[in-house]
Amino acid sequence: MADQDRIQLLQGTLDLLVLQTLVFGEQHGHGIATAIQRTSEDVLLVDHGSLYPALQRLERAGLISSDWGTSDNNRRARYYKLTRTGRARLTAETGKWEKMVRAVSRVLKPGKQEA
Amino acid sequence: MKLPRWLRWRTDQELDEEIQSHLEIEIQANLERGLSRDEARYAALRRLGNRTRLEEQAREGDPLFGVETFGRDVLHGMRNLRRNPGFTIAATISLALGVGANTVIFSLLDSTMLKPLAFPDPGRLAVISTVPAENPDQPQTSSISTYFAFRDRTTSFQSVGAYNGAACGVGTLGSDQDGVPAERILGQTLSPSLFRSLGVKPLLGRTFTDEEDQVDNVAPVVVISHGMWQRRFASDPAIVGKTLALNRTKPTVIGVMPPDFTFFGDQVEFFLPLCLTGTQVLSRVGGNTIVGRLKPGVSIKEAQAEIDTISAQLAASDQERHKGLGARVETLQQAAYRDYRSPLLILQGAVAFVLLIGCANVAGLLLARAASRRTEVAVRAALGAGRQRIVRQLLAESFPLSVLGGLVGLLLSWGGLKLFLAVAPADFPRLHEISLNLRILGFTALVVMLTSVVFAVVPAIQTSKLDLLHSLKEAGRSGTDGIARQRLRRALVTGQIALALMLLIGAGLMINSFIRVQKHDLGADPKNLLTFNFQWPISEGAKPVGKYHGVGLWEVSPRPARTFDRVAERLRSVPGVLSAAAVNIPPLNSGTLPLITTFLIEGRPAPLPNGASADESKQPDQTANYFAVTPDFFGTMRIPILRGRDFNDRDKDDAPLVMIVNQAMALQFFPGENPIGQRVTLDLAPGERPREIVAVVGDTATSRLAREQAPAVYVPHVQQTSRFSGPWVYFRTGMYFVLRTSGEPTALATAVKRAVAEVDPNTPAADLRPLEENLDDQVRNMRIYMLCLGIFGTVAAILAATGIYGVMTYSVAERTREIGVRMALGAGSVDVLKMIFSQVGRLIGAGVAIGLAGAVALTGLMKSALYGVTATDPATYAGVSLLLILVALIACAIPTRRAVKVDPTIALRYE
Repeated sequence: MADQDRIQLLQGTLDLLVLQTLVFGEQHGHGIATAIQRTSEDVLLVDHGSLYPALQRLERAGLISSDWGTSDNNRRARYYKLTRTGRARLTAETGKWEKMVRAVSRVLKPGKQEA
Repeated sequence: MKLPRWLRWRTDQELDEEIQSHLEIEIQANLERGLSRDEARYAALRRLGNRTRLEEQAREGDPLFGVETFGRDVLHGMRNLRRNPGFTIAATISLALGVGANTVIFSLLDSTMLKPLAFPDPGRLAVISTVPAENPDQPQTSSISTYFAFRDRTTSFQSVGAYNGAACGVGTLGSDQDGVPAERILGQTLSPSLFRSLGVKPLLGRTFTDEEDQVDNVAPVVVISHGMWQRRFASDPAIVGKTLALNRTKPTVIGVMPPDFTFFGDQVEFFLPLCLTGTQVLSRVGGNTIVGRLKPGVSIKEAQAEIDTISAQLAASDQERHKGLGARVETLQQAAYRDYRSPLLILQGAVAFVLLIGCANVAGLLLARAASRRTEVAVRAALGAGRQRIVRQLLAESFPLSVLGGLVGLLLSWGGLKLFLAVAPADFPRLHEISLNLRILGFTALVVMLTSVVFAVVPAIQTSKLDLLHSLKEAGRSGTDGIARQRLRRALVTGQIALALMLLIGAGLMINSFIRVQKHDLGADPKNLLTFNFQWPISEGAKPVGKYHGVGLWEVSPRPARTFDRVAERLRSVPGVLSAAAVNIPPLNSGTLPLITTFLIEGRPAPLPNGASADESKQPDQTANYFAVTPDFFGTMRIPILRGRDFNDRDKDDAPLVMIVNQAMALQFFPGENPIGQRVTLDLAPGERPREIVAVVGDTATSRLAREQAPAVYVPHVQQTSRFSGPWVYFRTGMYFVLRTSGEPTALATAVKRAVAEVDPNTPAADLRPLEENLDDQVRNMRIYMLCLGIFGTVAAILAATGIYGVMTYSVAERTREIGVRMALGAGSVDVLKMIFSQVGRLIGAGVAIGLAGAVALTGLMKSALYGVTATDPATYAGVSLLLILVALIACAIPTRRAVKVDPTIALRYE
């Protein structure tokens, strides 16, 4: 996919995506970035530079925890996993997000009921 | 500063490692996509972005990180300070002077106005003062009847007491006490309820009961101070119940006060009940300070409302004693230290100016430095430091400077306080309690913090506004500085000159006043005069017999007067004494306690009789100050006898009555006539008969500070009436002796004391000292005030001069190239001088103009402290302005010289 078709992440959505990615199990930083990119079918490109500050932020907030582990190709890497608080937050934030998406589409396409 | 590992959220090393592992995974992925090794690596790095910034951001959220970076910045700041000792010293001194001066003055303010009085629940202690209706801003002491009325009628107060500043507060500890010679000690008379109001408990024994303070029936009891107990009784634990030889009576000691009961001053050593007489109770005369304890929850305002009502009732029901009088309620602390409030606030304002000038200096220095650090800051910004981070760093760097200035300032203030304690009058309130307490340290810390912010934020904002690219390009070149920064520095200097000028004008006015006071012609020669007070207890020389003009009347025995004559006679034979005389009122110090009499001149109509004038509260116009003297008083004081003769030994009580008037009296009441031979009847006491004027003498000042010459009459002390008004009977049982000595007056002290003891072993020669010392005491507060303002003004001027010097040096250095170009193009030294001085002139001119306007606005506040000059004295304003301009120009001399000596070839090649 060409760079111009990619979308810059909305402010604040990176946290949500990271949490969602970790639902499927623990993962290291690079893995999280790759997963988001792949799941979004290459539409969302995660800025590696802002990923690590985000991870630190989430960990400090107690939403994720981390530990050193070994990657598939035998490299030392820091693995992150969702905490209970993080899981609860994800549910709440996902709900909010969906509500917002519905609301925004209603505004953008008035008269047309979404499915 | 690196925080220990266990304190940190995540070590930098760990983050580093994590990012390293990320990169390797990414490179691996890139390789798998078919990129070459180098390409894979480069792509991974590019995707990660600015690694430093990433790490900064990752750390930013760590709560401990702030502490850590701040610590690191502070360290960096400290290193900078060490690297620039010149800057550091200049800035530290600038700050320290301001901080030190502020701390000293705040300590004084604290001890008088802020530090709660050492009584339980001191906020509820209030003073009720009498205020004349026509002059409500002049609180006065109250009459006994006012005290009784408030005490008995108020419901706002839990208890009401009073103390009296009158005569029986001075005591003589008799020689029969323990063989120690008689000595004068100070005491205080107070109502039994005052101890209750204040809430103080004795250390030993008890305080008075109400039964011990009945009118005309005072119990012979005394409470002594802790100091007296230690000094004279060696802390005897069995003191209670023993007697004290006080004023030739033997009161029983019933209690000892605790050491911290020093409200009446450290010198007060005993406490007596109010000693009220029936006539005092009836009198309108004041002298009593009413102190009450408010009931819990009652505010001063509520109490004031109630007291107003009672005052109105009193004025209506008892016109003779209360007409035209109101009352004011204020807290005890306010009332007790009222006189210190305004001078201290003015001084606090003055030192705030000093601090501001110091801050402006440091801000100026920092601005100059900020210019040279543009490159450093730009590099930091390029490497990923956020703007906020840079401002924070500058703040952190200014912080150690403030702390350093603050610490040195504290040291200075410690020295300053020592100095103040050395020169302060002994009656300065709570002198020994003044110390650097927590509140003062807090104040200093606050000042330091504020200065740190003030002088760091300005340059910080200036610096962080940088245009990165521009600054980096200019790096290494000494291009001209930003116009905004220049303007800011000039504004700072202008402000400094203005502030310094205001301070200097204040100091100048005080110095001017002081010189006038010193030059003030006293009308007598105070040099080589020794004075002392010889005072009998009133009870020994007089007894109350009735009432006159609404005040008590006393019958005075002739015994004290005879003793005075014998003392004077004995003193004349002391070797070294040229002449000896006595007067009933402290010589050249009657400003505070004048005896004023009305009089009738024989053959002339009476002036409006007392009480019959339209406005009763006004004094009748025909009044004079009243003095009783021994023969040779004028000769001893060197007061010229302008015409006529001095009193002599033949002017006895049975001889024809005579009097002497001063020149003011002669001019005012006998213009164009010869007053000698005229007969005048005084009206100080009943039984006055016409006296013949036998001389006119020169006017004397009633004190160093008295400004006008009042008419005065002198009578031979033995020719005074046998009956005398109660409030002033004290002046009949004691006199102030003056001795003209051939040499140093103090050298005769022992001989004089011995001579007095020979005549009367029970009465000491009290307050024995040269008259000049008494006169110095009168201007002591003024001198301290002048000294403080003078010191602060000088410091301000020096700081401002440093500021000007700094700006000019910097400006010349910056314009070296410009000057070089101008000279190369044919400009001479004169043109360069013109250029520099037009800049300096604008700076100084603006500063002086603002300063003069400020001084006109502010010096009015110190009007009451001035003597003989107005607050807008043109000579002072002009002189001080010229002085400051001169100082400013001198400060510019070195940079100007440098500018004129610029060698165009070097200046141009230098780039």
